[in-house]
Amino acid sequence: MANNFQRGDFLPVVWTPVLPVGAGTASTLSITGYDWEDMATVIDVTGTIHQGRRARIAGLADAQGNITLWFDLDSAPYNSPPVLRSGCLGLLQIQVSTLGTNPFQLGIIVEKMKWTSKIDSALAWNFDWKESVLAGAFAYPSGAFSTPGGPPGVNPQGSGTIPGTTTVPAG
Amino acid sequence: MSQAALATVPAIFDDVDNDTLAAIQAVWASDNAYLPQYCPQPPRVQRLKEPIVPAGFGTTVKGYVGVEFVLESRDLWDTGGTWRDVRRITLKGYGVKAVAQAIGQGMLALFNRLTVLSYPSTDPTTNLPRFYRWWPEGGVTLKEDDEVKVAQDIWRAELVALVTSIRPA
Repeated sequence: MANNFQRGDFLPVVWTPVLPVGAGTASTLSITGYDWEDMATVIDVTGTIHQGRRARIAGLADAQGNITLWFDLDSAPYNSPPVLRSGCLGLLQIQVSTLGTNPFQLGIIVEKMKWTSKIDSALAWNFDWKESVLAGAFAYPSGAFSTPGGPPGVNPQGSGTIPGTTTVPAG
Repeated sequence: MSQAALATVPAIFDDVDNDTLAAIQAVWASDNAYLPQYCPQPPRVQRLKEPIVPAGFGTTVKGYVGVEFVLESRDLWDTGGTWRDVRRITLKGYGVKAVAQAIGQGMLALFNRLTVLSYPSTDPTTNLPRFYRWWPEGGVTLKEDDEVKVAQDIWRAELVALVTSIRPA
């Protein structure tokens, strides 16, 4: 199998606060995009035996990123749920599949929340995060990915039927 | 062209319009309760020359749906040699005003951002062509058509979408 490309509009993130509120409620965030990197510290171990070429090994694994959203006053991020505030520890699930299954999962700390308002745009916000295993362990997506989609009328995100498909009046 | 060169041409050409029409018809067939009341036939490419007046219905004009395909773009997707094919697809539901309205409502329920098309030409080994997304361009619009059938004004419910698929080279 191949060519199983994933649509960004079907890839939300799920946030579960851990501190300071204790084990919180998982909230699916309606985002406009995410951007993050899974990385490792790289240590230079070059010696004379490497004949003039650089030699490196990996140090600590780390992750950091940014998530952008529109501000919805009816579900403000600082309220509970989702309790998303700077300094909060929590668990982040980052979807990579339109099926809504098998996300990246990692503990993070919210480093910075940035708010942006412009005359010709809706109020928006975004937050920078960095990994913290104090909130949860890192896990890669696992398990088998099946073919996207399914029978018409079934939400490919796996959360029930498509709004409207079951409400067409008979006759 | 040499015989050897001809042998490299796939036996079945990448006929995107027919492939997409068949996939649309499959989605349409999944509704066996609502739309069949108004459209006895699956979506088709060309307009009907005669109205559909089933026996026993007197002069009641049944509706039907025509599909139009326009190639919007076809770009190289990656170094694997696959193509990203985007078609502007217009579903046109014809019928008297009430029928066209009902067809429009049914089309909207079946064809939206979450719609998944299954292409009959998909190769089980290469998994191509592969559906990527149905991207609606607005909702359904209702317009009066130029046609008159059995002395009844015909209306047209239109639904436009950009449909993207990944296609073999």
